[in-house]
Amino acid sequence: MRIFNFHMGILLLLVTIQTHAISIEERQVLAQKIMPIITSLLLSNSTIAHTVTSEQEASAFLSRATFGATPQSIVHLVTLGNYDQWFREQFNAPASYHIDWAKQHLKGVNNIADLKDSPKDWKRYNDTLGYMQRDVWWDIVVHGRDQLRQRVAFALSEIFVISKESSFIATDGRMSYYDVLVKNALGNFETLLQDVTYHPSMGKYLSYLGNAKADPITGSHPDENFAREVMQLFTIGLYQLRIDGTIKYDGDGKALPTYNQNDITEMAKVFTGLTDDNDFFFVDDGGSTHATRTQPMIGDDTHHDTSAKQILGHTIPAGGTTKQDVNAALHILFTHDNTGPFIARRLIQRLVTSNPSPEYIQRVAKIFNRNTQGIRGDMKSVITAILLDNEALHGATTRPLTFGKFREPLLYFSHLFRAFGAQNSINTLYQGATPLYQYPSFNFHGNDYTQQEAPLEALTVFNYFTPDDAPFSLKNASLVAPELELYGTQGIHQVVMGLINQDGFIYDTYNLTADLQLETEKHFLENREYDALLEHLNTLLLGGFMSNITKSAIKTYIQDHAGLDNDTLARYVISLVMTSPDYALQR
Amino acid sequence: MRHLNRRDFLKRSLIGAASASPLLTMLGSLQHLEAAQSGGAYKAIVCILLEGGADVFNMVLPTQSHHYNNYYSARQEIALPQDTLLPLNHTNANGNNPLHYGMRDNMQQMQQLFQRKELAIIANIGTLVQPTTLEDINNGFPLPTQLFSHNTQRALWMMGNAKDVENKGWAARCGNLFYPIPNPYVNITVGGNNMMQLGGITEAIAFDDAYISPNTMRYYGFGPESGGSELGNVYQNIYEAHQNSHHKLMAAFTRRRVNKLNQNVALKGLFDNVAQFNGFDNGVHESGRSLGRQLELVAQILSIRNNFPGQRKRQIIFVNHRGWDTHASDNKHQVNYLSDSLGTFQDAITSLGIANNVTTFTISDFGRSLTSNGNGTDHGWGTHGFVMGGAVNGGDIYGTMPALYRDSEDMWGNRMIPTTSMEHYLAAIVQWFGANDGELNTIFPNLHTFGTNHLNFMR
Repeated sequence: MRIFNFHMGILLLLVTIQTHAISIEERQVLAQKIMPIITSLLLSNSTIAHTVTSEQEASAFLSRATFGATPQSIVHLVTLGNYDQWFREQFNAPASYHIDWAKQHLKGVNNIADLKDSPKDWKRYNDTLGYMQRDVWWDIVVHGRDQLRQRVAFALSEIFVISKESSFIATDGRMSYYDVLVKNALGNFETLLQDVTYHPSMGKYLSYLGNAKADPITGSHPDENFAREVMQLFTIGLYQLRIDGTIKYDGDGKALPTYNQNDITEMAKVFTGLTDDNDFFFVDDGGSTHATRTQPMIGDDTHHDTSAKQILGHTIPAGGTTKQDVNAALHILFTHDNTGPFIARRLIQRLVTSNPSPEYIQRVAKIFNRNTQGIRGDMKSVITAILLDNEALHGATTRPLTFGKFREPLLYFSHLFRAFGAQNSINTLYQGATPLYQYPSFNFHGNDYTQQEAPLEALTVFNYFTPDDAPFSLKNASLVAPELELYGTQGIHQVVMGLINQDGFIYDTYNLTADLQLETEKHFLENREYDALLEHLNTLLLGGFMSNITKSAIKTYIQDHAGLDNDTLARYVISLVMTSPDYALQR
Repeated sequence: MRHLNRRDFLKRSLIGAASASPLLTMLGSLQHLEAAQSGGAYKAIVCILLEGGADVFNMVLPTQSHHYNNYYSARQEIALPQDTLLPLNHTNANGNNPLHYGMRDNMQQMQQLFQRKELAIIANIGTLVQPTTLEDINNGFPLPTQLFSHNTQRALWMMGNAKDVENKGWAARCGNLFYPIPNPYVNITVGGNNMMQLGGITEAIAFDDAYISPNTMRYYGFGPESGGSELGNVYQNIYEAHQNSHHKLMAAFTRRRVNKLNQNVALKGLFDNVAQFNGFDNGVHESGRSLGRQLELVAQILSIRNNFPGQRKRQIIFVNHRGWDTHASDNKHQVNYLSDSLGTFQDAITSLGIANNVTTFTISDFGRSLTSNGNGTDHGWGTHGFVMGGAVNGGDIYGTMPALYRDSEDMWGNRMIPTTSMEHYLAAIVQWFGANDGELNTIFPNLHTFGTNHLNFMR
């Protein structure tokens, strides 16, 4: 059946190529893309989608599954020959945790203790350590061997949003929260949801840490913030979905809501009684410690509403403890019909493509609902289903008009640093003029130059962009391109150019120590192998999606500037490739 | 210095030709177009979004003992002390709001603007499908979709219709009516992308600090002086060549990018003689670009309004003041910062001599719950609008103030049911801006449902 579908797909595709009004160049690109599919069909029956057929395909896959392909990671995947083995390796790779990293690497300068030996210093130097959080993120995403886990954790950080902005969440609280995402990225969704809910940083961000039951005397009611967002943004969304992610409408063409205000009022009662473990129920920044900021919240049942709650057609019986009620409510959300397609669409968008077909969402949602072992919410199965789906591996061919997503700023730089083996050095973290700690980093810890994008620093719980964001022309065609929200007025391209070319305000401001290793590229220039250089970059950076237009424009530029020294020219060429629209649109 | 090459020359000629022909097909709007483009005085409306839902019930509240006590019993721990409130001497011209009201003590600037009759308060406005009372709700009359949800309610405010789904924002529809040809520089944003301006014939132009000291790709470009602008040329050529890609995302992206690059060229020098202002405050730990900086940018843009290509006579400017979603505290800082920033902004506008030509007004996702959740408030519904400028009949409260006490008949649960539609509020402003009755009904498709608009807060 699968084979049949494949053949039909290719047949349709060939017809498309023949008849559809597309340019010769695009036909050539499509034809190049079809060959591996046909080859893999001929080679194997059962592992059709799982065979790695070329370096370009491997590179494209790695741009979805990691923080960017490297020469080594491409060769490694091609050598493995199939994706299944790659997933097994990634599943077995030890997780890299942010708090551990800081404890291991932050060495005190002068009379300051190493961070691991003085937990109080997390609070004392909180603001300055906020920069360290970014440094750690960069080190882990560039160097971590658990690339898949980290890439999924980053995706989750844009769904289960907390932020440094708009609510005071300390640096160790944020890093520990990120570790929760790292830990659960390849675990079970229900555990992820629980760990997120119980984390004090989420408790503070959505204001249910220290949330008391209603007080009939003052007329106060439980805080509804988390009750609403855990449904709207983290699990089931606003409208009823079919398993393929399409919205259900009533007879009048109105979208059917998933919940009403009554559900929220009832849900808000559930999230009363949670607090951090410092003997004081309400929010108390002064009394917080490294432990209370990083350990799960506890239930203080004296502040918990123990009445029965009616939620989404379920009843949570009266008399439950805080934890019993919270877990029961989260279980209702976890098992809701919307959660599979809701999360499937978001993760597909974060990793693969902005506009997945309903069929793709449905295939992933079904795996979410029940994997081959009958387990619901198994993240390894869900992530594998997303990345090995036919649409993920061959969407550029089967959906040539819409497949792909725009890279977000952080992923530009992670790829740059990884692809060219950027070398860091031991840098010093200063508070004002006072040196505090030394640790290895790229010293790339500002966010002014990444369009304000940084891990866990979105301006609101709606993230840097929402799943439905799009310029009007696309919205009108029922298409979305969320990441374009981050491309700003001037785009991020000046920054990319400036960093690669070691030039300009940005580079000078930064004192960046991400030294790019460009021997390969310079070697091509030395030998005047310009086409080979462009093909090398095409594979390494674009997974083979550099258009002939772009290739020829850059080649002309190289030929016109062959007199420049090779290091300068190599940087110009890479910066032109990485600021091209071909690169921006990850396929 | 850059010289026009042949392709640029051709391109400019083509733009000239292209913009002439649709003009001829739009004779119906031509009259309006001329009025907007050449005749009449300059007018700008500046929309400030109070993002997250402003707690307006701690901005304006009744001061007389009985009514204050009701307010106090509803709000308890978050109620403001009675003796600290700044008095408002409103004229009560519509007879709906006979009580004495006061402003929060840290709103001196807005209070003074109100007393000088440069600021009006429009009471308890919100998203409605039709005029709605508590009884109507209990009888199952239709309500806007997803009440109390941030992004949904904000979208309804920005689409200007809470009954039916719109695909364009009201500011975009307004701009398209006034300038039915490619219409750059009509919709302007300093607060980021927003739905209000989504769907213009030309995308809203975003200004940021970089524009004030222009640093465009092609001119100042990439890389060292020696090769920098050449890299910029290659870059732009590649983008231009992809504008007709069959990949829809690629085409949309590259077209947008090329528009921006060309806009940079067209606007080179725009800010050469920009006015400089003192007194705008960057706030304290604001989220994103601060309100003070945004309003300073607006004042700077208004100072060079005559330098825009085409010399627009009508401009709609969007500002985003973030940080109002305070579940765990009240809006004390935001209120104070808004008040001070509005005062500074109105001074700046006055110094430019266009106090009567610029009207500034607020919108928000929603108001907040009247009762407290212990230390803050939750998402509500009805909210107040604040309208400022020389063309405003200030010093009064328009519409009908809700009764602020627990379980009041103006409430559904602990939220205020709007007594005036957002359409009446926005339409009064857009009417001043120049729209006639027919156009108002196009810009706000559900306006007719709410009957005669008695909000006469604009001169």
